[in-house]
Amino acid sequence: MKIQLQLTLFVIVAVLAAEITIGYIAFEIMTAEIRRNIELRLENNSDTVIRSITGLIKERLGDMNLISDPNNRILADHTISIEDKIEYLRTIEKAYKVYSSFSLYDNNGIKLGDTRNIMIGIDESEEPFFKEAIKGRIYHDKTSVYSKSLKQDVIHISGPLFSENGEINGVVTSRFSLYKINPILNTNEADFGNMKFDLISSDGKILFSNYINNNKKVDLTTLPQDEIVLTTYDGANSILVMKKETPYLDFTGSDWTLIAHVSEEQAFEEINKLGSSIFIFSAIIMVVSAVLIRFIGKRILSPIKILHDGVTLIEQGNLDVKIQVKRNDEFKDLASTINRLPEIIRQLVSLETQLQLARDQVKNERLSAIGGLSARLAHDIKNPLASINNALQIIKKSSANNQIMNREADRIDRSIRRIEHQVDQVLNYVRITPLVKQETTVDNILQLCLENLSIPDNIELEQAGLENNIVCDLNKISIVVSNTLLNAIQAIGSQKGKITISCTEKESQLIIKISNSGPEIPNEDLTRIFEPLFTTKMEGTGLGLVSCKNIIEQHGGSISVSNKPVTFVIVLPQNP
Amino acid sequence: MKSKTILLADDDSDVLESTQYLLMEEGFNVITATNGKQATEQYKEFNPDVVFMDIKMPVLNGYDAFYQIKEFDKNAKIILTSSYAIDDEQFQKAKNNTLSDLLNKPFKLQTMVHMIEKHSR
Repeated sequence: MKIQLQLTLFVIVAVLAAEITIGYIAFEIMTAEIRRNIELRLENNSDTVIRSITGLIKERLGDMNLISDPNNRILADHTISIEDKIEYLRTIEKAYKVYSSFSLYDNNGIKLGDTRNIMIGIDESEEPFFKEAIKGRIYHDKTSVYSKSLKQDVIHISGPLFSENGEINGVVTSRFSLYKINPILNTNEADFGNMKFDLISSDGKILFSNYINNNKKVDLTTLPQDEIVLTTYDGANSILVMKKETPYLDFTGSDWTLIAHVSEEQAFEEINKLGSSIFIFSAIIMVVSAVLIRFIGKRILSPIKILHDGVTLIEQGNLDVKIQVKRNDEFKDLASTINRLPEIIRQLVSLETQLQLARDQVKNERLSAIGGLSARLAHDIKNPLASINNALQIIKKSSANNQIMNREADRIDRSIRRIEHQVDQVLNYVRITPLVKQETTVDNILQLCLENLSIPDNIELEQAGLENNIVCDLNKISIVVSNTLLNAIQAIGSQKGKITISCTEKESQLIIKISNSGPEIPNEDLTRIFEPLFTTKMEGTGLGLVSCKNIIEQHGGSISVSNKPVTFVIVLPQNP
Repeated sequence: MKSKTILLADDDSDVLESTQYLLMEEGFNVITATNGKQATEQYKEFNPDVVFMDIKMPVLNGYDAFYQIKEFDKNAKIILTSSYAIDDEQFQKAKNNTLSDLLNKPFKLQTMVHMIEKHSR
């Protein structure tokens, strides 16, 4: 995989992991914070609400105490008409704005007057507010009562009416509308926020809600007192607290219960919004980082291509490469290191060349030492051989008629030739001397060979296309041809045979083929025939063909052998 | 017809004497030298038709003697003789400087006679 892609993937994974981790932690912290905040608000607000409602009712009881006080001359004075008394109550009603109505009853429970002027004269002697108040007590409903006349839930607060002499002669009743709680809940609207309140009677009836509650009744036994819980309420998961009292006071004069709750959905609406913005933010960061890493990656990686191209050039043998990286970082260091490589390679190559030269020199010196030695040896052998040869010829001349003498003289003669041949072969092998090139023809080479080599009568020599020109060391190539011809002559032996020497020209190379009708060379010998000291002949030195190979290779050519018929193929460049 | 005069130069007295005998048997006048210096002096004195000069000789070697004789007589017919196949620069140089021929040891009498016939007029 390309580094660019690896880098991009790595960054995306890293960013994703970081985002998930941070997002998760932030979400958890925020959720906990919001929950704590909600719980605190639930606690405080429910207490506030309870205090406010309790205060409100206590104030109404206070009102009633004042109204029904025997010293309240207005209601006790029999000279004051019912209408005036109602008018008085109407001013109170207007002043406090929490009452639905006031009514006056006689001691039989018959309504004498009403601030709303409705249902005057009806008998309400059986109502609890009348029955308790006529006994001389201040009364209020423990739970709200649906007032048919007012068509709303009200709390009756009643007290006795006294005559001027202190006897109870009637009842005054106020109707406290539960709707009047609403302003309490609304005054602190900002604080309450999306908080919902249910005021519930002891039998579970919902007296008041500051929202539309679908429940008709609440089973209060299922909820723990004074404890913030997460429960299903009003068809939604809600954080909820149920209270009958505050830490300082209870719901005075009632068995009410307040349930304050916030639906989870609403509570975490904010954080859910936050969540989606975190998600969007993450996505943006991801895209930005992907783009950024592509840009940065390109910037970081662009020198790699330059370096790669440079190194490839060096690998191909271009030692003049200078890599230019316009950077000031590790790539620059790497580039300058690579730029030093060609010099090092050059030094190594030159060292290698020097070493090779030294090796060659050592080899040449050794060879030339051996060559010198051989030349001296040859001289020391051939000079006596020359005098033996001369002496032999003198003896032959002086005993021309002696048969035995002639036979033995011929034997000595042959032996001299053998020694001569052997010494020449060794000299050819060990003395690798520089080529002395001259322009000649293949025919010239052959003629030079035939001067020193006679073809026996039983062998026919066939020549073809020998007029080709060639630049070569005439003496050395003639040694090769002589050796090859001599091999052929020896192979054919005394039988009738034929040696064919031909030459063709191909792509400025001369191909000289020398074949003979002699027996084929065994396959296992074919591969070894050019090895030094390999010979199958009794008189062979094993140096003839290897000398030939050396000479041909010195000319930049090649020599090979094949059967059917036995053919030596010499390939020589025409102008090496 | 006046018989031809041959100068043989060789430091090996056996080679020198036996070759001298063989060539005299063939009817040539043969004078000898055992080093290059002597060969040069002999050449100047007797002006032979053909010279057979060994390359490896004491005092003055065959090449140097060759050049000295050539300096004296640029038409001198000189054949260098040697115990081994010669293919070095010095030989090539001599060859370019009208060296007549080369003869490898051991000599064949027929070859020598053939060379004498070829190079002397």
